[in-house]
Amino acid sequence: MTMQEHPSEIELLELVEGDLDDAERGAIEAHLAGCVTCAAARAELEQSRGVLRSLPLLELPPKRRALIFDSLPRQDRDRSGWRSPKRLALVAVPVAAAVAAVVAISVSRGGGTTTASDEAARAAAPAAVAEAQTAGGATAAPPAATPPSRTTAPSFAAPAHTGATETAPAPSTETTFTAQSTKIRALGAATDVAVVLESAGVHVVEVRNESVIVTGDPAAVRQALDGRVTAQRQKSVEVIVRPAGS
Amino acid sequence: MHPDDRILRKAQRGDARAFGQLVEPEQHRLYTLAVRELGSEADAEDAVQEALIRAWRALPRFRGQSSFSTWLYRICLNAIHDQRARRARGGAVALDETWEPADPRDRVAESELSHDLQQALLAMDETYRTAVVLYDVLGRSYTEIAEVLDVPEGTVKSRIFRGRTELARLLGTLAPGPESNP
Repeated sequence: MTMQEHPSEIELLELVEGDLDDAERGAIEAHLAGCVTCAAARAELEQSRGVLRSLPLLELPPKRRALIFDSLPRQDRDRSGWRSPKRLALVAVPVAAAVAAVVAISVSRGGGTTTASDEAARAAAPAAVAEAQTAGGATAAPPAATPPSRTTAPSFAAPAHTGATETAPAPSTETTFTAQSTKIRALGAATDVAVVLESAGVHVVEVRNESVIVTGDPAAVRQALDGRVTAQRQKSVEVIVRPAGS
Repeated sequence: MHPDDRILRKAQRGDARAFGQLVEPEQHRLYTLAVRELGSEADAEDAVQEALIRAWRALPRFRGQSSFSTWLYRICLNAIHDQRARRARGGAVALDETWEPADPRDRVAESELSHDLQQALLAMDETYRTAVVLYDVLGRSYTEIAEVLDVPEGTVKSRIFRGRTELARLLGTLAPGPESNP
């Protein structure tokens, strides 16, 4: 058996990695004997393999490790929810009402301290806090929210006019909130998308099976999603962005 | 890797020591990944710290669809991405300044070969670099990498091929610096 055509990139890699059986290897070796291009590629594969594998495993400095574990935020996770009641209250308030509380939160959250904003939130919107705290964990919905209507789905499929491939702003059909929502398609499972958004500083209000509800600026949300790795990218979820203020 | 479910549940309930146990087997690989991706030990430490704090926060939502280590690598790659973006916003720092092993023992371990290699890695296409670092430096399998990056295994192999050939060409074009003669 001889191989007239160039082997594929994958076949050449498999050759170097010893992943091929004798017949496959023989055919590719026969080709390499007469093909300078493929022989050169093989040499490059082997050279890089050697230098990369000479790189040592580096040790995370013990000091930094200790610092990391000392700085883990304390979390009250006695309840089954995906966030503690305190944080739930904080994110529920901007959705609910009270412009003063929203301003207090959006200013103070950037600094990472929650005490002052928590106080402000409780003072300005006691009803919302109470509701969030009694809602109980993972299934807690924004006050008085209705589930997003599935009938709006076709409008998300419309191509985005800006050239951004996966985003298509659409007006909200939910009447619970006075201002418009923006819906953004994100690749991945809802929980992963939520992690990405939250770690980028986006306020995640709720995670559902096929949607993630957040508050903030749609452009910031798109930026937070851009280039991030999420699992199950064959799936997509709807990120529903509600205005934080106004 | 399938972490002991009991430890996982303890960590999910907020037990930091249990979280430490879960992270222990991967922490040095995560750090190595970050160093090779960012070319700076300080940035790598920051990225790993950010990744572990994110993982800690997100842990209650970890449902075990993927393995814990896969999930951790994914969070770490995102933290690395963000650290790189922060660094880019803060202005570029010359490679020679950023790649400076802090510990004298590291200096011995890091020959000029790996200094040049690190520069070549930083010059690579990010997609290919991640694939070769995960495969060749960290010894992850095609299957694990495919899961972390959520691409088919064939794509992983193709990226490793391209990463290695690109790296070989970059190493070939690197002019020897003044200190690189033994």
